[in-house]
Amino acid sequence: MEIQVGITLDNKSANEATVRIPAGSIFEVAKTEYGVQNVAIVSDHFFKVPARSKIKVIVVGRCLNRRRAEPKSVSGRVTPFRYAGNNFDQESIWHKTLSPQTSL
Amino acid sequence: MSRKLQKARELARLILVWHQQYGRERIREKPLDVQEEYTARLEAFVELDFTKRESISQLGHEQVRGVFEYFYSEQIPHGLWQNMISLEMEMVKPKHLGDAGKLLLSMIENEDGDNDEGERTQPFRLPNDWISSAMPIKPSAFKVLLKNNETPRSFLGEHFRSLSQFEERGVGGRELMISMNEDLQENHEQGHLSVYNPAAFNFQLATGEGNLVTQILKEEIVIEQIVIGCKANYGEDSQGGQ
Repeated sequence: MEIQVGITLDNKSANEATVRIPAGSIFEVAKTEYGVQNVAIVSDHFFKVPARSKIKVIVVGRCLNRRRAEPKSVSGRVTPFRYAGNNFDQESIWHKTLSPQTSL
Repeated sequence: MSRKLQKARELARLILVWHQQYGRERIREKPLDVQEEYTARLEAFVELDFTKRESISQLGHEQVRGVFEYFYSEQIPHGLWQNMISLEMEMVKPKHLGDAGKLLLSMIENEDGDNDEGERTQPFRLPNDWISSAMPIKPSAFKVLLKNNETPRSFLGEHFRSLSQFEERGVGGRELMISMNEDLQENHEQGHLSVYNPAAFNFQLATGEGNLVTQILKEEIVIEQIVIGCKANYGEDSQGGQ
C-alpha cells in the first residue's frame, strides 16, 4: 500500500536550502484518534528550497499500521525516527511492526 | 533478593515445571540415550534449591544449551504462565522456552546492572544529545497493570509525552508510539498493557544526519504543513525528488 505525504517547506533564510528526506523517515498522523495509518518513506528524496520561499512536495511511503484505516488528507508531523529495516516491502514492514523485538 | 533475581527464580521454576508436566512425556519420542540423560538431569534439577543464584543459572544454561534444549522452541502454555509467574513481576511472556532461558540468564548476568524496574516507572526519554547525534536505541518492553481510571491510550500518552515537545515545529513521535503500541493490545490480557519502545518496532533515531527532521530542529527549515494521504495534485510545484 502506497501513501502519499504532502509537505510544505518554508525556507526563511537568505540562502537556498537543500532538504533531504531519507528512506525510512517516519511521518505520524497528528492524532491517534483518527484511527489511520502512520507512514515510512520508501526512497531517498532531495529538494532544493530557494531563499525566502515555500515549496510543496510529495513523498511516497508505506503503511506502518496494518490494523488501521488508510489516511485521506489528514494532518501529520515528521518524527525523529526512521524505519531501520532493510526491506520496505509492505508485508515485511507489517511483520516487523506486529512482532516487536524486545530484550525481555 | 533483587527484583531481577526474583524474576529469574520464577522463570526457573516455570521452566522446571514445564519439563515435569510436558517434557517428561515428550522426551519418549527421542532416542533412548537422550531420554536417559534428560530424565537424569530433570531429577537432579528437582532437587536443587532455587533460592540460590547458582541453581537458577544452571537451569538457564540447561534450557539454552543442555539436554533441555530439545524443547527450545516449545511455547509456554498460557495457563502455566499465569500460575507460575506473579502479576507483580510484570513480565511479558517469552515466545518459547528457549527465550525464557535466555531471559533468565540475562537477568542473572545483569543483576547488578541497569534496573528494568526503573524503565517501568520512568517515562520514555530519548538519549542525551539525540538532536545532534543518532544514538542507537535498544529494543525494550515492559508490562504494566493499569489502574482503574487508566486506559491504554492515557498511559501511553503520558509515557511518551517527551516526544511531543517539538510538536509546534511539526516534529512529533508521541502519537506514532501510542498507535504502534495500541495495535498490539488485542493480544494481551484485560487490564494489562505491554509497552514497547521505538526500537522494538525497528525504529531508530533519524536525527544528526543533515535530514529534514534535524533541519527543522535546528531551525534551518520550517514545516508549514504535512498532509498524510494527500491528493496527487498537492505537489504541483514540487522539485525533482529522487
